Amino acid sequence: MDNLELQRHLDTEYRWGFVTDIEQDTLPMGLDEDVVRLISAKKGEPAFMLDWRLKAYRHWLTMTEPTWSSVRYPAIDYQTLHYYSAPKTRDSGPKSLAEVDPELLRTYEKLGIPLAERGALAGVAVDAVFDSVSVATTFKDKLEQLGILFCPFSEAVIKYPELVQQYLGSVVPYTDNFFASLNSAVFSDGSFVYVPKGVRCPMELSTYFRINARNTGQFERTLIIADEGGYVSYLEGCTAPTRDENQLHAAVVELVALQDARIKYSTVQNWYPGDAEGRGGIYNFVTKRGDCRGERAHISWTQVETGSAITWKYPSCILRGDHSVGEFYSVALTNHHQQADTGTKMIHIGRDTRSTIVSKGIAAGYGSNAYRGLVKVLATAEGARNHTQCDSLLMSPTSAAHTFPYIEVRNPGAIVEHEATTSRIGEDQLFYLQSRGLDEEEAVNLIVNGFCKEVFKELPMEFAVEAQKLLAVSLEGAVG
Amino acid sequence: MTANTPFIEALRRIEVPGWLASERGAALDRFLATGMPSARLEDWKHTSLAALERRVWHSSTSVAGEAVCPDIASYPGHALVFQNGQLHCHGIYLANQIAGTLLDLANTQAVHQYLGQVADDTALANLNLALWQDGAHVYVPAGDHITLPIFTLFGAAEAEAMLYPRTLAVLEHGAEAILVEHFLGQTGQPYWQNAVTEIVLEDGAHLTHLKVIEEGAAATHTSLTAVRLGRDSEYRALHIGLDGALARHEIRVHMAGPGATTRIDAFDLADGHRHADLHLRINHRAPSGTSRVTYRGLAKGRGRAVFDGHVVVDRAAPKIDARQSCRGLLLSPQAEIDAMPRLEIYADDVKCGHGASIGNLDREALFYLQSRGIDLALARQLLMQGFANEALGLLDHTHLRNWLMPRLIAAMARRTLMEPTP
Repeated sequence: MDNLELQRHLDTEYRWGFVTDIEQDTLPMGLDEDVVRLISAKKGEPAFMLDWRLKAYRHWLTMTEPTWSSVRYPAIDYQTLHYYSAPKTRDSGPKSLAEVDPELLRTYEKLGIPLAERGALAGVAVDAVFDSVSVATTFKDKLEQLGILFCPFSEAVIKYPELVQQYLGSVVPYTDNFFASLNSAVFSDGSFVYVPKGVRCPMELSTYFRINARNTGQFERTLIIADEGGYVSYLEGCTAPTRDENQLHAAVVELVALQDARIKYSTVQNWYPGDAEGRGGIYNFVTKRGDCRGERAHISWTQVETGSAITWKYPSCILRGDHSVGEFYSVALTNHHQQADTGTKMIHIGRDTRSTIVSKGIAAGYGSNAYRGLVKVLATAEGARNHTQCDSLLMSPTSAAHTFPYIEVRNPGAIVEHEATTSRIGEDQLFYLQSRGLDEEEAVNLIVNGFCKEVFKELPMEFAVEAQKLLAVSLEGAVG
Repeated sequence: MTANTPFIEALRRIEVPGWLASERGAALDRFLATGMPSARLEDWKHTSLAALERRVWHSSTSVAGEAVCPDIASYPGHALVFQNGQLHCHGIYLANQIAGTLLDLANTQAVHQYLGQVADDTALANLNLALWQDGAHVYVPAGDHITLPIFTLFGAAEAEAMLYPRTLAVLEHGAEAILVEHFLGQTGQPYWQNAVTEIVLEDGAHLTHLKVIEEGAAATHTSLTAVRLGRDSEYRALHIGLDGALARHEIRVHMAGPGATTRIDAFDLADGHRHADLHLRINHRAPSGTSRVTYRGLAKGRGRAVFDGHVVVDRAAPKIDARQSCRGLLLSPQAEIDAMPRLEIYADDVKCGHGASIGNLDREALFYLQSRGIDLALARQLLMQGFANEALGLLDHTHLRNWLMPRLIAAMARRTLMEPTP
């Protein structure tokens, strides 16, 4: 496996690497209380938000950066980051697509984001986040008719303060962890979704995150609430321009599912992973958590993680309501010098709660891939059921794959099962496929796609196609 | 990190025994630098030793007079008996009578080469190295096969005593032996045994190692078994944890030679208020190694069983085949089982896997047995024994089996708090 063809594939450059040149409204480097106040003021937030941000900031000062995970990176100097960056707008912002900076629209075009008509064709309503401020939102009217609120977080704070006040921080409190506290203090924007009682959202809601301005920490905050009997499927996808310096991304996503509600959250993450030598790339330290608050609530996380220099995220479910269901489906791929430490937590509190975990890790090059998960069954969770499967595929002798499951059971009526395997891509399988006329690349793709099938089938159509393509591009020539 | 508890203060004033004084002094300094392992350490997340530090322990002064030597005749093999940390009596043990030697460790000068070299640099191993008084040295010369089991019994009858049993087993090239370590409490008072067993298996050596923990009801048992395997050697371990308020056994296996095999079977019974913790770390450092782990943990009453099975495959160790099976039987709403079957793999040409499951007795099996006229209590008993038996595959030695089974069955039948009444 040392031919040039493979080497070429192995060195496949990041496809979406370009920097959009538009004016940025950026705060000076560094973080103190004034920066927090300024962010809040720039967004015209009500007093309760500023209070909350300040409490979070003061708490963050008392915390130390965690070191327990398997990822390694040089120390981050939080005073050399910019904490706010927004595309400059004329007057108070665009009223319609026509008013949006054409440069920006071209960027989205390059990324293939369906806006306006293209959005209608794709059946997707997009709340596009360019760095920190949402600039265009479509399909609002259609959603409004159903009473579904889907808007940038900054807008929700002003328009629906009582909902934000009620739910913000109720799943991930500002004291939760180092990165969540930092996010709570300085978060710039994100998405807000509220699905009223008994409403089924007729389309996949989606948002595209982009990290653009140099040295700008990106602190997204997303809050999705599905009221009793509501249903929503939310898609999150990301690409970012090539650059050399590491960028910090510390997002927080909170999901609240009330009785009989269902939330499906899908992610395809393809941020800049750094170059083949491990220079640059995004640090992706994310806190994602869903709370099944009512009976029969259902939260499902699906993620395809192929980007970022470092991925550190554990989308979790708190199964509080009786008969509630939590699911986690994940494909994580690390190539070159990428590191991923990802997994989930399933906390069973209610009776007859069920959870399923399917995690597929692929490590190539010098990549390091760890599954870290917790299944906790409290004494109250009579009849709880969990099945976990985590498989790792190793594609080079310098790659590493780890599995760190924690299982804690306190109820004798619970059944918890965990299975894990780690192995190399099968030589005999490769040989067989090649003997049938497939070249090695195609054979690898076929095997990897089969390996990930259980997860891909959980993705909405739009994403499933993109995910398979992403995986193929990221893995080309990685075997050997 | 080191709090100035009375325990630590007492240690600062302690004088280490004269023999191996410099090594012991250094080990004590290392322990004092780290202190007792705290619950904040990832490895100690599920087991707290805080209660140990609140007591003032005293070193055992003498072999307690009232404790009689246990019935050595009932041990089917060579036997060496330690009482309160000191050599007490022995059965058919004498260097010349068996092919190898079974010696009083404190009187063996030949151990310098190995002593303290295999055990990992953990806080509790350092404490043992600093303070151990007596122990067993099993030495089997190249090519010798000792078929009769070698027993070492560590009895404890002294309240508030802090005991440090130490064992060193060296099996030379191609040697074979069976070692049985039996920790036996003879008092209901609290005491603390902190044991270290070092095992060196040279190329092609085979050791079957049985460890039975039956400490006193209020006792704490902490121990480290550290094993170094040479080329094509084989280590087969059976851990049986039955009694003692808190037991934490760590087995650390260094697969240093290519083609080595490790098989560890374990059964832990956590009933009453018992806390049973087994930590395994199998480090594959050479190619073509095989490891197999079977763990069965049973928790009832207010017991808690903790299992951490950590397999590490180094980059320099391709062609590794590592499997782990972990099952927990949780029988009461106040009991808890925690399992962490971990894989840490830095090589690609490997086959590693683990399976873990935790649940209650199979209702259908219970129903089936009852439909055959067996009452519920007995049916439960039978299924529990069957569960434990899954971990006893290694016990093919008839005499050993006959020696162990009554102990196991008696412990299983023990009535405990909160046992659900059918």
